[in-house]
Amino acid sequence: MGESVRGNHPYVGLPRSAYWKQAVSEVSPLHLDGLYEPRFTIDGDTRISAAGSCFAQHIGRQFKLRGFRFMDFEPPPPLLDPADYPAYSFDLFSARYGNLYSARQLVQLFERAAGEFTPLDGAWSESTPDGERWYDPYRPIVEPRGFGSLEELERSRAAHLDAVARILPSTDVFVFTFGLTEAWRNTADGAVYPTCPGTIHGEYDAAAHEFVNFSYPEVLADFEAFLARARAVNPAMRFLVTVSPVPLTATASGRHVLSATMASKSILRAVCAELYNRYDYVDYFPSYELVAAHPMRAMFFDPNLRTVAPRGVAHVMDTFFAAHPSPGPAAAAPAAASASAEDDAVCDEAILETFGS
Amino acid sequence: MTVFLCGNSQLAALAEGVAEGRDPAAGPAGGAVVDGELTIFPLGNGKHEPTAFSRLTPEGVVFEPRQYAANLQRYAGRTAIAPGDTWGFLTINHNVRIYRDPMWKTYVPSALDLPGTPVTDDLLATIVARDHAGVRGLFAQLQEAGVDFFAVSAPHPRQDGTAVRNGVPRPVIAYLDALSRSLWRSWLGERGIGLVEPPPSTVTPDGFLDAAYGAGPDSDGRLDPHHANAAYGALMLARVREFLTTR
Repeated sequence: MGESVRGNHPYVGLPRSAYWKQAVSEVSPLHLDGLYEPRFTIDGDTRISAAGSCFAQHIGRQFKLRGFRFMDFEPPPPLLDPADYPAYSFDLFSARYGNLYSARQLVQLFERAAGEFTPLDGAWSESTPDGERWYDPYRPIVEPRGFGSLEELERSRAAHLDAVARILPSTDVFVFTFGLTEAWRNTADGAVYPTCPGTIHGEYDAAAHEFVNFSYPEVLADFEAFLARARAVNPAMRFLVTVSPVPLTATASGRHVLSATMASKSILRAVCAELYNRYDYVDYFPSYELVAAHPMRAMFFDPNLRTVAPRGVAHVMDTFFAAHPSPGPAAAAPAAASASAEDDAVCDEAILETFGS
Repeated sequence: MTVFLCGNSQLAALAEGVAEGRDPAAGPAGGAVVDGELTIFPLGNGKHEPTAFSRLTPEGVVFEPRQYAANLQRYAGRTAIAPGDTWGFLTINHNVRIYRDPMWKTYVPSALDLPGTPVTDDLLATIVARDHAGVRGLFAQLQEAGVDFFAVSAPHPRQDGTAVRNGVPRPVIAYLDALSRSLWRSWLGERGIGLVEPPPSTVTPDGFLDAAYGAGPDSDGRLDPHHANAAYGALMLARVREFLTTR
């Protein structure tokens, strides 16, 4: 029979980060040491790709700004002004897929890129003063004024899916930010939309569209399906998962939006924990905790308590990149085309020759 | 009435067009070319056109680039463009800036059935509109100042131009050029600004400058793959005169 010794138990001698009082109560929420300890290194040689909810856009942007090797398989046309990138969904993720709020969307995107799934609902059209415009139901805001024709939409989508198909073979670390459990899907084939038809574009049809609130087992199974697909292509691939701290804009669950948000984020956070526990090639970055946990006292949210203020984004990014030091400054923009200089020179000479000025 | 016709390097063809003998009285005057009521002079390199290069002041519209401001003073004797004269600006459809970019070897307007990454018409229009920005700004300021002015278009792309020689597909060049012309036509039309466009006889069926109207080598024998010649300039001047008498 073992002897009981008071003061000798598993909670003795743990690091400071294990004790709420020392790790949280008595320290500034801006300095929660040890909240993120990377499972693997991300350096200047690591090929990084990313997808996820809107909060994930910050991660991709920061990887680029800080000189990491962020992969963009659908880069903006060089002549497009950077100020126009966001409107056309360039430079946000590793391809122009827009926000992927759910793991089911992520899975279906790669199924579509592999030619394994072709949604029945392929295009939405709308009459406008400028004529008929067309929208891709799976990235409805990728062209701010829609496509000019169905053919234009289909050409763009084919090029987009070609780009998506190149992601997995050329990625060392895939970053995914879970956003929502609530989604809308097509009743006929289960294709998940990023937004409810009718909210931004398209028309809602109660017979064709149904609400779904993915459960913990469903989200876990979806992401595990993605892991299997990715590792089949690239067995050395690793994954960094996060949860967006941004609450739901609205819920269709019938519950209060705050309860619905907590349920959704709790499920996603639990899935991340399970993925972390099951797979040593999956890491978790606590962006959710850094913004939304109660020790932060909502200081990183805008007054609407939903959108994350720039200081909140900066805090999350600084925490992440403190653990992954920047390999160096971002690559410089490519030099101006030599043809440009040549023609400018010709122009100057033409003026000089004709007018002697 | 004095009509000042100014612009970028594409104006050289019009100045040379005067020397084609349409008006025996025409001749150089302090570096500018005078042809009857027309005084033709360069502002300078068109590279300034995509960004804001002018501003409205109490005295009228002034130019920011030193070269433009100096030429305005030198040839027109003005420090600002104000009401009182008529002004023509050959500052639009200098589309070489757009179609010469190496990106067109890999990207393609989605309306064309060509290999490459498709770019939608809307996105193309955004790119082209950005290229028009500085000149649109100038024209808006001129309207606000009450200046009587009109726009004169640059010639169509050269068939032997830098872009063609660098491998940009001809249909791509023609498509981008046509898009820019269409956007300018709409923008100017919406604002009631007059526009003088190239004579159709100078344009090939696929949208390029007819080879007969391309500038030849310069006095040093160097190839000019970019501009039109005096014959084109003479035709264009006739259209300018027609515009001035019929508007």
